[in-house]
Amino acid sequence: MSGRLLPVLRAALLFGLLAAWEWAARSGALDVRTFSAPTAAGRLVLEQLRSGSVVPHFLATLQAAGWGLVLGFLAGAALGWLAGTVRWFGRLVEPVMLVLNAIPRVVLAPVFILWLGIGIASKVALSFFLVVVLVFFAVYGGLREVNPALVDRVQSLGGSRWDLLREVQVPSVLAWVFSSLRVTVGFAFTGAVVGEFIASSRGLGYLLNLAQNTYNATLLMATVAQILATVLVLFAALEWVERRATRWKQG
Amino acid sequence: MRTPGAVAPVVPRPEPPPAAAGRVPRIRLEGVGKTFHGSGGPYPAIGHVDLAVEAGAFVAIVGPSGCGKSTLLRLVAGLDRPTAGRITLDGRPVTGVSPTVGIMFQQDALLPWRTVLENVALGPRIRGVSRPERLRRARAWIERVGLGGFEARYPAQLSGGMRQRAALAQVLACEPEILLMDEPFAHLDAQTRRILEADLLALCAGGSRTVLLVTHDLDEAVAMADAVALMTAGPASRIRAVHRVGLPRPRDLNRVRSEPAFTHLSRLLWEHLWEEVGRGRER
Ligand SMILES: Nc1ncnc2c1ncn2[C@@H]1O[C@H](COP(=O)(O)OP(=O)(O)OP(=O)(O)O)[C@@H](O)[C@H]1O
Ligand SMILES: [Mg+2]
Repeated sequence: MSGRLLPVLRAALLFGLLAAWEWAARSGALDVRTFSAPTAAGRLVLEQLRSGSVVPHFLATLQAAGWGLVLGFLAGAALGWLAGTVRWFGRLVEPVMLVLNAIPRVVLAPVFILWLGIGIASKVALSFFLVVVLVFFAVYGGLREVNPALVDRVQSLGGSRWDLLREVQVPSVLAWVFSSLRVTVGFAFTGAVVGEFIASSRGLGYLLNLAQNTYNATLLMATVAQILATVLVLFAALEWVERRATRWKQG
Repeated sequence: MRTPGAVAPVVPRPEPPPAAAGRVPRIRLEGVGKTFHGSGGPYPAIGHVDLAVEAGAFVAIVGPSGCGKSTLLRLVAGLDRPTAGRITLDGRPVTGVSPTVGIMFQQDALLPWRTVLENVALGPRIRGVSRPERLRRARAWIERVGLGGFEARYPAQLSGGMRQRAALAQVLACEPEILLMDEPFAHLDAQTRRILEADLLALCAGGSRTVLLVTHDLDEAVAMADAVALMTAGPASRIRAVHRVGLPRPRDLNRVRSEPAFTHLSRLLWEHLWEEVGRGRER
């Protein structure tokens, strides 16, 4: 199939699904109170955007996710670097991180809310906790999987430890970090939204919870649509960043 | 098949390495051994190697696969320590990487995140050569190995042969006095290979460089080298014999291959190598 046809087809598919949903809601095949309808949800989104009522929620989520991402990134990178360079430390933390990586970390959301309250701190903590493990493995893996032939190459050219760091280790780690960047940012966002969903007074997750508790299907659909749109825009931007940063990988 | 004792008379007997009496050889290996201590227990890759290479000499090393040729080069380059014996360069023991030594690895090891130009300029940069000077040097070498126009490419965007040429330029840009090469032309097409062989000979003409060339191509070894060292099969390999190549210089790499002395030595090496391969299989 030609590359130009594919996006058109995708858009047509999406539009077809929405149209079917709309038709089903109008004809009564779907209960509008439970399923809402694309036009209703769309109208609400426009209204929310015009009145700016959604802005504080949006900012709250972004803020929690942003802090979780930044702090989780710093901590994960520091731990990963230490584990990759100090052998005994690596042996100590790797099993812990493996376990943390294996369990669904969102189950800790209620714990954080219990400990840190319903404010932003518990959301940042959950987001942080999701991110830190991912970044740890990206940095740790990048250091451990450094190609020994490249180390030999730089060393045999007379390279110092500093040259090795700059020419081999850091680029290798960055390659790993960039290739997991989208998942990392996605997790930061998930942490914030899930935290808000469980207990909070602001944020997109709070809106989801509110809609569910008040049986407001239209608000629910409108919020889901806005979360989806945000994530899609974010991922497109990150993909661009990743492509630019790893241009050397493309044949 | 010939037995080792029945060496044809025309070819010089395995003689002591081509080091002139009284002069300190540029590269000297005395009783060098290397035992690896891996998970499968100790493995004596190299048993006992004696070799002396005079300054300006071009010595080829051939031997069965796995006999320790790459290991030997790494020891001379100072990337690994021998577990027995000692290695000296101009009489000084090798304790680490020396700036006079350039090594080209069997697998090309270009930095994937650096362009061809940056890769070739890497050595001079590490050695503190100023930016304009190292770029000038890198460009000149890139041109010389026939990669002109590919300076801005990344290694992933090059063919295997082009990567090997870039790796060659990377080493030569450091202008090493001692050049260690591990099958440098293995992945090249026949034409490029011949061109680079001739280039390498020109670069080393007049004894300006001392070269150890590992190759599996016996014809290449005889055509290019002053002496060919044949290693025995591993484990615990040693040098079975060093054959002098009695062909005059400068050599025309195409014409030299039809000389009787060339064909003779090439065939002799092949027979000996074949014996070693067989011996390696029996173990
Ligand atoms: N780091 C290592 N640890 C353990 N064993 C090793 C190591 N490096 C090499 N060896 C072993 O030492 C022997 C010699 O290896 P080497 O790579 O030097 O052979 P080679 O002569 O270069 O072979 P080829 O012609 O196939 O390149 C092999 O048996 C190999 O398995
Ligand atoms: Mg080898």
